[in-house]
Amino acid sequence: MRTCLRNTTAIFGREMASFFLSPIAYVVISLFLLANGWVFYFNANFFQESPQQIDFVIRALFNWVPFWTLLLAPVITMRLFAEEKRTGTLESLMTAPVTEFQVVAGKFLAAEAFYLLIWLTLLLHLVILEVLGNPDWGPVIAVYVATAALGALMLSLGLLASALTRNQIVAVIVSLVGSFLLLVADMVRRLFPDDSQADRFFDFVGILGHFGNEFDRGVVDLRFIALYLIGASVFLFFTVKVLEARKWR
Amino acid sequence: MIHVSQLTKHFGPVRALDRVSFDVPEGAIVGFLGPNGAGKTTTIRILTGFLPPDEGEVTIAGIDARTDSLGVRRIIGYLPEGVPIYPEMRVREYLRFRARIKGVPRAERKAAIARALASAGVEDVNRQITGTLSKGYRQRVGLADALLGNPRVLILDEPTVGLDPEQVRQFRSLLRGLGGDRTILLSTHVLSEVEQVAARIIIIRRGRIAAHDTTQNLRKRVGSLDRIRAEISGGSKAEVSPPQLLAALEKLPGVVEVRLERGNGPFHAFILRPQGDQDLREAVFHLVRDRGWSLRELTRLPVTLEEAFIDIVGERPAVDNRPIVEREHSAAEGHQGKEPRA
Repeated sequence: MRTCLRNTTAIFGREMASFFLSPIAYVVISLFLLANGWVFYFNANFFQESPQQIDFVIRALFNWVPFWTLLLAPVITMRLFAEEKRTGTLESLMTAPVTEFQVVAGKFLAAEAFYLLIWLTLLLHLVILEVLGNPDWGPVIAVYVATAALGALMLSLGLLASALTRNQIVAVIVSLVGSFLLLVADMVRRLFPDDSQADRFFDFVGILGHFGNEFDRGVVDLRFIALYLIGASVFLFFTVKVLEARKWR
Repeated sequence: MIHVSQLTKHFGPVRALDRVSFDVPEGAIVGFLGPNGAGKTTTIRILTGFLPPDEGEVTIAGIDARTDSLGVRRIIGYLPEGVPIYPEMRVREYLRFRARIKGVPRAERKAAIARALASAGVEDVNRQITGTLSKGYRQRVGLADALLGNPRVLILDEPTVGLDPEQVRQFRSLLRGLGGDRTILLSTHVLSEVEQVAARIIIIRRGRIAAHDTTQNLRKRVGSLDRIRAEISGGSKAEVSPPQLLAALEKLPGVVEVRLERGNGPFHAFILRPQGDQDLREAVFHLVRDRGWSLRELTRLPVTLEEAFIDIVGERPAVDNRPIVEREHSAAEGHQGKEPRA
């Protein structure tokens, strides 16, 4: 147990450091800050006259969570295994006394932490709103929880895609397409009769259809959080299996 | 220390290893030789627990690599082929990470890293980013990594590929210093690289053990393969044709085989194979002098494993049916950056 924790944190630490050593991280963060700065500025101006609309400003920022996650997750995860496979470092990693699970866990947690770090930059905007007005923090916390869970789902999918190939471009495309399908899964329901089993299933699974509901009520809908986390566990499980596959006979 | 028995491994329809068996005694330095694609890396990957065998037994220090892969990985230091290192990390940072995942206790980590840096001779670059290191230094950083945690078994896969002769020499003396109580398995495709450090040599060929002998014995068997390369001109007006030159060379005592390697211009390059241990250089010189021809090159060619193998096993490489000129050419390329055989 202690060695498991030690190895996972070691890999977590290395991956975190290497995020910040790669130019991609800075490009992504800059893009994110720029786009959200613009969204914030535009909306803050728009609602300047009516301070009671402050929640709409916040909402305008977090409306983009599924879109940003779709973009961020593949970029954050594409490198994680594909690069190690291409350069051969996976061999030195897997011939050290670490298990596949520890490697996957360390890398996933690093990706999730980096992803959340990007989202935490929005606190800057929220602090400005706090100074100017009186935003409701309940929905913000709820939407952060939902964002973390959605991130876990798409990052784990990206990790799986990265483990399947030694080409980062292929990894990005696979995880982008996969994540996109998860986002719009509720569109499929039109193929089925109203209120049938399949109709309700795809309505439930489709992320775009329900994401952001938390914000309306300020309540975390645990069913969706559970859906994302179960999905994430499945993808991580398969990532471990893909790494172990070289040992199958 | 390392015990391998009846190891078999398939990759799809390809049989990469075919009932490979050998033993490496504790504290020995053993050379693991074979042409590219012979199964060296596959064997090593099985030893290090990276791949499982289809059949056969592998134990290292009594630990079964198939059932306790983690246990085996704890006691070996492994330098994979091509020395994969994270290019964005600094040397010390990289070693710190490796020490952590290798389970070197926190209190000993600093000392262990300092020791590895010193033994591999990379203290002076410990703050450098590994991606900017020269090939020789990269190799040594890889060795420092393999030495972390003071492993009882060291497995090095092609550690000297791409090094210049001076670096190869340094690497060799480094290895000699590391021996003693450590068991070292050193893979390479160049015989000259191991014969000076390894007491025993295992030769693998197309997935099978072709020879497993002491270096001395092997050397004796291979020594007779020294060849001579001579560039001869039969005069500026080319009054003597290459076939005539060839015929004259063939008549020299002790010559087994003569091949015309290249025949452009007035000079023609010939490769001569002697019988036994004979040195033909003098005979060639006398012949050229007596006939009044000109000579502009006379060299002993280093024995390539390919040829050593033909001699040891009496088997012509079936895969390599390129023309002889091309084969010589690539053999020469393979020797670039390697020390010529002493």
